[in-house]
Amino acid sequence: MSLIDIDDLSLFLGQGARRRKILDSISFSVEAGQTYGLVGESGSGKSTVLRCIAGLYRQWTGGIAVDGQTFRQADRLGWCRNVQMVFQDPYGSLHPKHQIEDILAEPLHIHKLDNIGERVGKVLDQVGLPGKFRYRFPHQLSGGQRQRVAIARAMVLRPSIVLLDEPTSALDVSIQAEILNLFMDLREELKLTYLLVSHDLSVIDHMCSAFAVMQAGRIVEVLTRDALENNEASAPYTRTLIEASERYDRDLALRQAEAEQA
Amino acid sequence: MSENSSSMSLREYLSSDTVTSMRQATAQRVYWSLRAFLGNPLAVFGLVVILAMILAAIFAPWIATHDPNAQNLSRALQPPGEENWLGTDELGRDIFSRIVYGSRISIYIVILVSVIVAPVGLVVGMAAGYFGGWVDRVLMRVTDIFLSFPSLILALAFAAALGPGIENAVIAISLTAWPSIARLARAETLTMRASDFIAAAQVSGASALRILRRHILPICVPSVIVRITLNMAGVLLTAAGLGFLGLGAQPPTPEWGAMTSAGRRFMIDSWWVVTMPGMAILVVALAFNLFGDGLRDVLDPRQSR
Repeated sequence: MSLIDIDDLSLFLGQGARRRKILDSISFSVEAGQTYGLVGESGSGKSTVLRCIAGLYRQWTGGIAVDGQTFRQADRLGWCRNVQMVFQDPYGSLHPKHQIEDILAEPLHIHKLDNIGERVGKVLDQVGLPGKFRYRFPHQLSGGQRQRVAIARAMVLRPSIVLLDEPTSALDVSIQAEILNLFMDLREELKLTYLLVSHDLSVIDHMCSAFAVMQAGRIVEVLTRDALENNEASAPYTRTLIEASERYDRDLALRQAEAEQA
Repeated sequence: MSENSSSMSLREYLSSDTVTSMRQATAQRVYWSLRAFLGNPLAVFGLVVILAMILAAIFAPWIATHDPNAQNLSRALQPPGEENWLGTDELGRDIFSRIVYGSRISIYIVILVSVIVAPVGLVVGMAAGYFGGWVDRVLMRVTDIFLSFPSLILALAFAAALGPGIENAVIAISLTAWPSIARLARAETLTMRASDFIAAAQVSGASALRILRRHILPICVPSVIVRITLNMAGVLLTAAGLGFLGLGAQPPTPEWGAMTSAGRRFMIDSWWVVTMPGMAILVVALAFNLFGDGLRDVLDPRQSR
């Protein structure tokens, strides 16, 4: 049995004439300790899958199960302790009026855990933030530091699964590698399982052992890292994606534009 | 850090880059806000007038030169002079003392209205904005209904039904003042409902009540405080208007609006009877507006000019 099982997950959003199918029977599973990727262009529904798993959307159909327990059966706080999420934009994911201390202690207060001061200090240390940041406000921190705070907030409840929603795409290129390495270290240290959403194949290649390619709310293809390296991608969309990630090709861009018009 | 924090001067404590406690972080924020506020002379003027009014209200018996209700018909309608600084009214009562005592009533009304209006508006607005859907629709339609009452007319109706008096004036003003606060709180809540930091709180397992109280309230409060302060001028004017019409405070209470009303019969010959309480209303209403503007620049930088 896998740690995460997504079975026939579908989601509609909007009402009446504006009702749209966002996810179209998504199924995949993630083993414990694995980093599983979801790739696809903007609007393909990859972040939405994470938001469904995190419980931010409730109106989906199908099955989401962690450790054999389905979302519908699980008690909410227990689910939250097990499944945490890091958001894309560190400028939007930290409360502007809360100090770092408040931000990190808030989940601990919600779950009524003890030794709050100690736990906050420890998690700051784990994400590589010096203690002097503890009483700062988010606007006094750089983008990379903010993202470290967001990571610390996800880690402070000691989850086994962390959902990463494009965690580096809002960051400077020089910071991206640092943050990705931090994720790798934390995975070893805390025995984590990641579900990583990205539109950047090189990030996926760097982090993930297997990944699913999504397009228009559907999984087009599931690939392992080895298959990617051996150029075994079969779906035409995946091939285009790989080709596009290798270099900018004027012919490819033109072909894409024509295909979209047709 | 903690060893040398005791030897640190206050100035270093407030501007140091290495913050070592929550209290210091808060103190620093207050300090910088205060500095920004003090850089605005008009706002400081507003604050000084409001403080003077509050002090006058608290220490009225020591500040007033006469008993505000003591009549002295032999000294009726005296112009401003040494004995009566701002003159006397038609019953020989000292206008200065009456204005000083009148500040108690004005402050009482303004504070009472704010205390009623702010929580009601915040709760209704935040609930409507956060929950959306039918909760939003119901609450906002109720808000629309109250918003469409003209406050003075409603106050007239209250006075007719319950009898004139300060308490009824407060109820009438409050009933028409909370919807604007509710709309403001709803708008603020809507802008952040979809934001990632609210989603993060939800992922942490926070209940709706906790999110409203700990995450949404701190962002709504500054703009609500600013709006309430700016509203206070309007409240003061409505209260004075009710007093003028004889529906607010009743004689012999030294309410400013009632004083101008009583003096209007002698306006041609004895200008001070109307002018002095009128000036008090003008200055205080202006002070609330200036103070509110200054507060907005500090608390709500997005809306500043």
